[in-house]
Amino acid sequence: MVPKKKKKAEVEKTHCVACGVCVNVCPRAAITIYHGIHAIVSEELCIGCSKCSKACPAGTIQMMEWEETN
Amino acid sequence: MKTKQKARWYEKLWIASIIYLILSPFNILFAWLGLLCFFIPLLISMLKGNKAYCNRYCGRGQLLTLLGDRLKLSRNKPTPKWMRSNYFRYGFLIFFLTMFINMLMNTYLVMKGAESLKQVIKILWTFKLPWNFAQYTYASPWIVQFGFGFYSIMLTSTILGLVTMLLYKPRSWCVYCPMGTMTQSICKLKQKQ
Repeated sequence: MVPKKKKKAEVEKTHCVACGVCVNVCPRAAITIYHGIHAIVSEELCIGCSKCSKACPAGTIQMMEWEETN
Repeated sequence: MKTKQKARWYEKLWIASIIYLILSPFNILFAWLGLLCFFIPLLISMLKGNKAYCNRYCGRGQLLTLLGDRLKLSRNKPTPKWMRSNYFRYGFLIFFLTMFINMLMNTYLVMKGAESLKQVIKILWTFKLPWNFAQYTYASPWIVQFGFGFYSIMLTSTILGLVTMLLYKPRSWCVYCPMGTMTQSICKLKQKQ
């Protein structure tokens, strides 16, 4: 069976400014700001729409390809 | 599927930002209210250890989103790397605080009577705009001087925010916003404890 490829948002924590733009644009409420330090994306909730990645002013959110085996 | 969320009161704080910018030139004492944008984020980060101010209540952030995103006034290009770097962020914070202390010193000199009140709005720390229309009856000169100084800071940072909104992402300002950098640092320190 060919593994299905899925995109998921990933935050580069060192340059995240925790402004919360990504939280506001996420249609699935998959992003939270961890104690005002950086954003965290929930792997289960992220559908890979890349809205956060486009909106992030600090350019810290990348869309990564994930392989799903089932 | 996205469910339509109920509009919340704090999503309209951009209106307060606009009112502040428009009303202060008419009565410079109004500029004092800008201190709320200084103390509220600091208090939230110190007491709660989060950036709820940036995330929810920042009127300027909302205004930039509105203009850049909804009204499509932003080029939506990536913020340049140097602007996103920690050197620039912390450097700008130091510069901003220096200018803030400088403004407080000017206010102090007026309070002590060593300098006379200057009715000037200084834009981008350089350009002086004489402003004699602002009402300030019943207030001591130093209170008025602080109003001018503080409004100059608020207007300057709004202009910078608007320029980077036009050039880059709507909320590029948030990357180097001194308040954001400060509150994030406080949150980091609090987390380390």
